[in-house]
Amino acid sequence: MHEHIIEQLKSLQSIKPDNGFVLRTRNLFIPTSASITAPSRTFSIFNWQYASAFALVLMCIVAIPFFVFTPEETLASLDTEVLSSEIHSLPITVQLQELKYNETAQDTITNAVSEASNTDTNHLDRSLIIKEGEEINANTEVDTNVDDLINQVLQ
Amino acid sequence: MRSEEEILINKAKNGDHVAFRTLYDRYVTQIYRFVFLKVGQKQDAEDITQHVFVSAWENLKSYEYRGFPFSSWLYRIASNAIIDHFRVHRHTVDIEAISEEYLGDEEDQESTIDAAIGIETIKVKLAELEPDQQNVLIMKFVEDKSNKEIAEALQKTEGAIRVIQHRALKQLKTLIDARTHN
Repeated sequence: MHEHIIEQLKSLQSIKPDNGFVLRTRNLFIPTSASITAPSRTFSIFNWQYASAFALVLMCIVAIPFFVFTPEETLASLDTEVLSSEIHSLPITVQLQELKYNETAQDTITNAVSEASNTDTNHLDRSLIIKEGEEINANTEVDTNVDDLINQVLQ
Repeated sequence: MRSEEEILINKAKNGDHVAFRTLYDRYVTQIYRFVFLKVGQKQDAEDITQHVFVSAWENLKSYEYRGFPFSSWLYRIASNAIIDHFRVHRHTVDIEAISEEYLGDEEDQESTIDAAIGIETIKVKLAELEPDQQNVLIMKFVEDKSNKEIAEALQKTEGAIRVIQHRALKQLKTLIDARTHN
């Protein structure tokens, strides 16, 4: 019934790969080939072992000189209890400093505002100062007796 | 008593490249043909075939010989690789390029061109079948595999293979007849 179709299907047996492709792929399975290695699963396990050992050695290389050559004060600063107490006291200090600043700032602001709002500050007026300077009579006689008396007291 | 193939497989599992190359030489053509008939592109067929053998070499330790030819395992790897291929490349068969791709390295070009025309027809219609139907027809009639071996490769029962084969032939005949009448 299906002989003709089966015959046609068998004709597909003439399909073959290129020799170049066959040889190229075959060369992947040569021991000297760098691209394909033997199917060894243990290789990946050894990789992990080497990686772990390397990490351990690296940690020792970094950690030992740190503890040997680091000053004692620096190491003390790493004490968790000290750090903890410093942290607990820090907000109080900050708050006190802040209060002090606020107090000073309050006085400064008050003074500035009161000076700005004071209407009795005529003595700071430049035109007034110039006017007063003109009124001073520099040619008025001075009583020299006063100077003599002061000199006697000093001697 | 162990078969020659089992000895080769055990040697290859121990890293014997020569043994694996012998297995490669034995099966590369049929695996390539199987892949090519499924994907329809020469370059894709070469890439997938290479992937099949490299994957087989790399995972050989996990392979257990159970009396079936080594090709059953290769067909299984190839089937999975083809499924992966179609997940990424959802292209159709390039009908125009088929004739050239069938020629391979044959020296007698004239006779192969005639054969290619017939091959083209059956291949295009084959590609229209369900994947399982294609697998069974290719393995049964192109590669002359037994139902038992096909069942092992496709992870199905022999009864299921017979049913698929019957339906596939019927479907293929319908498709070819329809083309003839058109």
